[in-house]
Amino acid sequence: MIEFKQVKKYFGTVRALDNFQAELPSGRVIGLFGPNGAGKSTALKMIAGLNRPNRGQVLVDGLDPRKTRDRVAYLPEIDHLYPWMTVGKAANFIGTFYSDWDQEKYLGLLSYLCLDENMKIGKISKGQRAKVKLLLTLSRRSSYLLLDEPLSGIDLLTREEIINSVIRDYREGEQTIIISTHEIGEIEGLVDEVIFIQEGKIVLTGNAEDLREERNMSLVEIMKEAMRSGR
Amino acid sequence: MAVKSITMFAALYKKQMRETLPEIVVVASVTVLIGLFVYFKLGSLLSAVAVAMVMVLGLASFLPLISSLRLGQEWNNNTIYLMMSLPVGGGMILGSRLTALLTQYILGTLIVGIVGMLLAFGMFPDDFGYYLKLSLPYWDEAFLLYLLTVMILAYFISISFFSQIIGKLVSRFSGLVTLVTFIGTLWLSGEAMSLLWGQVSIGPPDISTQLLAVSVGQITLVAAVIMTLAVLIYDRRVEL
Repeated sequence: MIEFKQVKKYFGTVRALDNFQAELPSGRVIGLFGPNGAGKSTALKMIAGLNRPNRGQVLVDGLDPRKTRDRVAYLPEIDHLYPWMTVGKAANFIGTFYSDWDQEKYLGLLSYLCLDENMKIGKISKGQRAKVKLLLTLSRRSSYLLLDEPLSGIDLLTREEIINSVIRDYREGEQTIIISTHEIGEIEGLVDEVIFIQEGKIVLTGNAEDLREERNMSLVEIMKEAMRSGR
Repeated sequence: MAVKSITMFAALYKKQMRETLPEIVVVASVTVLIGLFVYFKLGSLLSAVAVAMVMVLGLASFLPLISSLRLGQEWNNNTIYLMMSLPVGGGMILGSRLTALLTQYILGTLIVGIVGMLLAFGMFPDDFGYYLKLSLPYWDEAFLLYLLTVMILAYFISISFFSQIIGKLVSRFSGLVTLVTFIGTLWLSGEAMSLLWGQVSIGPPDISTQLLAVSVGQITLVAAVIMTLAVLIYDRRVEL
């Protein structure tokens, strides 16, 4: 389980998270929704151990996130791979560090995503780079999968491939997936739990299906309403 | 089963070596080109060989220090996201970088040394044998002197890492903070070494060997302290 305990995070004078309190259950797909600058990426980076709270505590399975990096597969929004590496070399490099790296899964996904091991990361298109990042993240059998804006700036067909890849390999009950995005429509059917964030605060949280039934709205509409009313 | 630390270190070292490969190729190419130029154009000038080799030796020594600045580029290229999400600490990240840069230096100087020896042997076979015989008793000192240059480079690289990491702790004027930290650390560590020298007593025989051995020990100690500080700050303070 992932816990945020009264977390405050500032970047200079900008407040990224403000008394952020949440318990993210294990084995579920959790959507972290909110507009740009809401604090979604900061929350994910804290789980990945890349950011530290100014106040409060973040715990992954009861431990400091810096000690649980081997359980977490993190896909950042930006291009974070070495451009001189080929897909195969990047996989070889990253795979070395994780005992949960699944070579069979990697080869299956490589073919499913129509990628080639000899492709040089610096020379492929943005959509292909997004697929490579996903490939390298999903090729692990990690307990926690963090996807930060996985669909941002990606064309429609590639988006579909990305979503299908996530669904294809999801191990329900075993793996926790946290997807941060402001493009809710496309992953609406994927999430079990939702957390809506605005200006570093949780404005609404709950089971996706319950919220939809309760309010008779789609998650997109619920988010719009929650953001307008601040609740 | 957890991945062994040595396997992870080897993967990081290999990646670093791949990044320093272009510089090693540059040193090798320049050395060979200058060697050929000296051999075919400058003929029998022993001093020309020496000057040319000292020049490329300077290049081989200077490039690893320039390459050490690549640590800061990890932030500019966003590859720091990858490095920081790996399940390894700063010791392994910075240690593998330092090892790769020292390897780059050793390979570079080795190439220059071999080309220089071949040139001297090819151009002045009689003198070469004479000087080689003459230098035999001093090989211990020569080894210590070489080790000292390796440790001096390690010291400068440690300061470079330390100051770049300090620079990354601030969001504005990062470059200026890096520069000021570099100069400040250089000054402070110089003072520390002066203090350490005050504690050392050296006497005959083998004064030069003792001097070199103490220098190696001192600079290694200071470099290790700076590197440890860099690792501690990387692990405890650096974030994205």
